[in-house]
Amino acid sequence: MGRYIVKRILWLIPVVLGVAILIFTIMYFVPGDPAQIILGASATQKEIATLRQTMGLNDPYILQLGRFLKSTFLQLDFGSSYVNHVPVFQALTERFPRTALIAIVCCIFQIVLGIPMGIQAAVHQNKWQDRTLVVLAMVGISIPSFWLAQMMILLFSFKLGWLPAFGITSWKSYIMPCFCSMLMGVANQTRFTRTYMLEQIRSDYVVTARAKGLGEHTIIYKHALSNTLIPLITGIGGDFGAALGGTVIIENVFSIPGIGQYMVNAIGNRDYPVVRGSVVFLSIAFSIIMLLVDLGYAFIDPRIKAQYIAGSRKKAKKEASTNG
Amino acid sequence: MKKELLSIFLAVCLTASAFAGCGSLTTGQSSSAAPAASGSASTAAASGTSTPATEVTEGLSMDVESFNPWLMAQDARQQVYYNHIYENLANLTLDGKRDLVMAKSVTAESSGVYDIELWNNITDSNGNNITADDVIFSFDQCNAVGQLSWATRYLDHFEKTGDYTLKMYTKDESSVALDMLLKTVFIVSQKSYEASSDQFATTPVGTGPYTLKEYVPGSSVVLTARDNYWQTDDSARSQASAVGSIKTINYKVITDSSQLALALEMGDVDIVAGQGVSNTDYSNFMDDSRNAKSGFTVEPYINALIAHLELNCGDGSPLANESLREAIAYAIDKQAIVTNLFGTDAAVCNTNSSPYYADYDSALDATAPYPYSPDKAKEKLKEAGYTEGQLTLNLITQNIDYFSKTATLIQAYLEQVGIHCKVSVDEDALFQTTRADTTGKAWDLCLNTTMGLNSTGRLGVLDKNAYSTGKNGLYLDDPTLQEKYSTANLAATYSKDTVTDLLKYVDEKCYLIPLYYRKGYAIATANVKKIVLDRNIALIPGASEIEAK
Repeated sequence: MGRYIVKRILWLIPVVLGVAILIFTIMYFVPGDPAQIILGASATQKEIATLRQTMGLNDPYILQLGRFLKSTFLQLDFGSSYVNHVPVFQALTERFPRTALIAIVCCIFQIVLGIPMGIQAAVHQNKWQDRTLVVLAMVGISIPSFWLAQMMILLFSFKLGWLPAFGITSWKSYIMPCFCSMLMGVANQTRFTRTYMLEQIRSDYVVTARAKGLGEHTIIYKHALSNTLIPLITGIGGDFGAALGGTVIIENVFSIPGIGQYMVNAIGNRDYPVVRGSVVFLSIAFSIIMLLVDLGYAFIDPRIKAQYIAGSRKKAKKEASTNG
Repeated sequence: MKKELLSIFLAVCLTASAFAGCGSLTTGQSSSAAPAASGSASTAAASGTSTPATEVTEGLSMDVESFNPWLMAQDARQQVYYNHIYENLANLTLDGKRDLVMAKSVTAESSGVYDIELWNNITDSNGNNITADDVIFSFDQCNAVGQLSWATRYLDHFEKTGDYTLKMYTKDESSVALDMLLKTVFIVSQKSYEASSDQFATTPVGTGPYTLKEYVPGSSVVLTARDNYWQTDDSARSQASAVGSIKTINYKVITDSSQLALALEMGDVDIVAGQGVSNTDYSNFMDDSRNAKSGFTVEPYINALIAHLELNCGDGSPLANESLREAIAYAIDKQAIVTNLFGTDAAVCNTNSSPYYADYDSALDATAPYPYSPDKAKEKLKEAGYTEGQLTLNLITQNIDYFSKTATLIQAYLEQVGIHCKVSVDEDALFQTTRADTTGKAWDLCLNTTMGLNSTGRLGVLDKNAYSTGKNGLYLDDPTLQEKYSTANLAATYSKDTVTDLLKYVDEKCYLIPLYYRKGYAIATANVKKIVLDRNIALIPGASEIEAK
């Protein structure tokens, strides 16, 4: 098992490296001169050329790429923003907790609300509970988060005055952003769980379990749910990773200084170090989450765990026989 | 069946509750959340029991991002830095008058050479005395950072003549050189700057009347008034460094424009001085005549930017033909563009200047050199040797809502006279790169907007000396134009007359087609009785009249 974890961690290196090279190349070939943007329309060509030289933009592609990879991976230095000269890593670490908090809360609600609701819908298929939950899930999926955000601000901030409309002054500031972000995730989770649970409920082993007189609660929560957890966890992991970089609209509407907002501003400003640094940072975070999801499989499904252990034993046996 | 109905009912209830937040807000609508901005503040003022505020909260549409004093002058920095944390040698008031700040005096010794005397008691918030060496250091650092090189291009060198005196030698004798240099570069103590671990990015130390108390990147900034501000002589104090009763300035970063407007309505922020509130939200604060609605205070100002159409007059474009340029000028109905896009929030420019500029000639602006006339446009097109539908022009512009709409309208007007127009709306980076193309073939028409310290400074695109190609920004090498530009640009010969002469020539040759300038509004809650702005449209809280809520 330990070898598997190490192996998976080592696999992160080419993935992140590939992402870094890709994003560098894309940004390099995107039209638009950062020096021109920084200096504005009134700058002369000479001034632009001088700034390009200072920023190292005149160096060949390979040299710039090598410099970027070296500083990013060997020195953990993502460079400094062209626009404000603030180190990118520092800005990312300041902003990451806010984005991560929203993503974690979404993830928790997906689990504690979405999965039970999906189970209830499946267990009561075609009954009023199922229909109500399916309608609610459809509404949750259909409501655009930016619209919901505006409506919530008008209701809870402007009319009722219960919650702050913007900023990060207290824990209350996160209630509306988290709700808006999680709604679609919970709705999706409900639908997925319902579908997977229905598949399991119709399986032969469930019929057998019922025939053997097992309690309905045990059948659903112990047997059927265990078998649906793999696809559900994969989905939650993917959603969590996407939420880390995808809460741009929510961050913008609620003025939450997170990574999404930071990255979008940087794209508009052609702030290459920020865009590159953010993408690499997110790719590392996403890869780690996916690693945890993979490891989670082993704990959920004994068959997968057995495969890992059997694989390790087989390898050890082979090595022993070779040496012997 | 009943259960199905119940589930449908629940779904309807959920949807209805989501919609409950809908509905436009009307001024004066009472709300437990709204700080009764209008009501209580107005009543208090009327009864004469109001007390001056000690705190003000401003809304910013973008983050400061860094407090390094020599970065791009984006709106948020103008609101937060300018004359609050950092100071310059001299600032400009809203009407363009020089307002000395750190400089005690500035006198012209000879053409392009200026004697500057500093106040000898200037200290930053760390207590370091500012000397002539710090001025030279600040200009050097500004150049090293590189973002303000367009402003420091006028500086040749400094010569220190004493601890608090120095001579400034400018590279050219441009009319904007002195004010550009005095105003753009913030002066800091070399000792404080070198002691800073992050080049003042989060720990600024300036000489201004306020210091940074708290900064949450992307969210808020809090400034507090210095107890030991160096300028104790109120009579010598610049307008910009006025503090009055305001001991604390809070800035809230709210990037979404409708949210910013809402924050103002709720009283979460007292004022939005610069960019931010979108014109679609103006109706919440002003009536159709742009008078403040009850509960708000509004200060109109003229935006320094003027939108114009640059014409590629080089050999790479058919617009080298003067008759064709005139055809385009006659084909565009500027008044209709302004009325349709901005209503009363913009005004047509008949010449390349606006009332924002001190050298503005209202008589010149009163008559349109090319009044809207499709027939005349067709005639000129024919005169240029083109038949209707034969010509296709490339128009480039930036991906800004009102620009893309203006471009579409121009396209329609040109189509009407038989000129096809291909519009490219690009985001800023690509637009600037295309605009700066050196081949002269990337565009024919460029819908752009520029500003400057005066009309000549704004029209730098006409100055071939600013380009290394030997031609100006319109790909044009016209000695008469260059001579007129230089005359209007030089400090010694700059005057309203020489500027008017230049503008007349530009109009006559139809090198640039002026379109419109926009009007802006600083909007505040009712407790802000009077709004005073500087030339950068930054609030000067100490000079404004703000009452406690």
